[in-house]
Amino acid sequence: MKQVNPGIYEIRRKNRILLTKNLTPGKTVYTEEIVKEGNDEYRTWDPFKSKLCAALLKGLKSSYIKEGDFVLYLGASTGTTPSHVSDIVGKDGFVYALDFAPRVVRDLVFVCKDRENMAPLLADANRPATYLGNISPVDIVYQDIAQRNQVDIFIKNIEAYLRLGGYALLAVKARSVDVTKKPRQIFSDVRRILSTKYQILDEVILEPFEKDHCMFVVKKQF
Amino acid sequence: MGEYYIYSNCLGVIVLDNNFKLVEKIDVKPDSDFSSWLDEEKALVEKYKGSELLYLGYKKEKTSGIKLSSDPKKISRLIDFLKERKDEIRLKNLKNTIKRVKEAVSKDNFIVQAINNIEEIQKAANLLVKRLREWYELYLPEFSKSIESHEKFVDLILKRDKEKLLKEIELEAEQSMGADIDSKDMKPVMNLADDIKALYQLKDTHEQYLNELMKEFCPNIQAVAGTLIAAKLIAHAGSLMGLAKLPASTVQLLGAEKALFRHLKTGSRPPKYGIIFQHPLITKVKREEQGRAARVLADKISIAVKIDAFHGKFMGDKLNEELGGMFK
Repeated sequence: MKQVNPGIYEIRRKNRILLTKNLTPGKTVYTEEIVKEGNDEYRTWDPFKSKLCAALLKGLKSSYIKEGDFVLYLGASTGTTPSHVSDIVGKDGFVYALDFAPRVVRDLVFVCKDRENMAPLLADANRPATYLGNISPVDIVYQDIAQRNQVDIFIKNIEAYLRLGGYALLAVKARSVDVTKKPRQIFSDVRRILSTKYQILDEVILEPFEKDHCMFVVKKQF
Repeated sequence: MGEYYIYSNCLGVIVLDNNFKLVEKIDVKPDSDFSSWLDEEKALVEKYKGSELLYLGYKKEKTSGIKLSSDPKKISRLIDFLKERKDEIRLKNLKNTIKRVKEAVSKDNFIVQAINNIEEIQKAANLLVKRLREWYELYLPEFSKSIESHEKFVDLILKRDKEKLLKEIELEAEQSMGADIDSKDMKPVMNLADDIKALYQLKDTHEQYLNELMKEFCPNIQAVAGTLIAAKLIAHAGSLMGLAKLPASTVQLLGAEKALFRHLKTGSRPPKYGIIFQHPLITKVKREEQGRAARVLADKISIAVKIDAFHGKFMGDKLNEELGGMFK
């Protein structure tokens, strides 16, 4: 097993498989596999279930998230990807996992109860001012929300919570922006909007793991 | 004199000196509106008058005596300060979220679960009844073919024996293709019929429950659309409020997404109706009138659900009258 990014490991079987070091040894979050090496335990990361993993396999230059970071995770759902982010930032970091739907937050609460560096949040990412009291400024904003105005939500949250110099990752789902437009057209629109405000560091298409998705990474400059 | 920083969240209003050492902390209600200046914060501004005061973070407006700052060095040190208190932030958020998930449960959820369950029971019963008929037809094929309603079929084979059933379809025993089967071999067939009947009864009970629930929670949409269609619409939109926020044109096409997106993508003919197709108003009118009927019905449903969502008076009968008057 070799480390390919901070907190992210790789083994080779038929394909490349990424793993993160399990913060809660003995416990899994979804259907991932546990791989043991020495005294340490690692969880395999499914690129078909997690867009961050898909982006890493598709050649994201870095994961941008490092140990000890404070992360605001928008669109946490049942906690699949957030749990890996929680592994990466480790016990000194922290993940605010936010979602809007009570049904998925119910499952998310169970994940957060096990993990000492995760807090669940039932809130609407469209209105960042409503959860000012629940979170703090952060080092990373990660967003995976299938909404028509996903870019707008992304910018609002970066402005409200991301510290200057911090990174923000956005998984764009072209199909939720406009089904009639070509995904490439939508991605280039997103690129144009983001580049007026931030420095775009990375951009990868998530095929074949996710159809019509693209991951953008931006830096909020000083 | 000197420089002080203020920051507030669920931990409280925190005052830090310029070395980011805690000077004081005042508890506040966790559900306060932190985008406005809290009374506690205003009191602190007064208290530290004469010193340089900075608020680290976001407020929607300025106030005198304190400046807003997003200086990256200060924010980084604030994050470091908060990192040491992350356990407390986590516990407060866990508690808060658990409370909010609990409070989010409403009658909508019961309607959605009940209607989904009714549909599932229907599917399961259909699947089982197909097997039952197949099996029973070894014994008495003519009777099974003579009766279309599954529910009636199950009911009758349980109530009457072969002789009576033959008499009912006016057939001599010798003319039947059905084999003579031991009661021992018919027993499992009858057991299956018993359970299917129980399933139908369960469905009826749930329908009654849904009926009463909606009479109390959303009588208007129930009156206009009928219990089952109304419940399906609510389930599709996710909640009563969600449905109320949709325009009538969307309500008309709920459940026809596949056809709608095919239309948008390829320019094929647009769908005229979705879930509301099952409504008697649409099934009854002439084919060329169906599109118009769907549009009008969707309009009335949309009005009705808005009344229900905002707790208006009952006027379902009036809406129904208006509807009935348009198609005669």
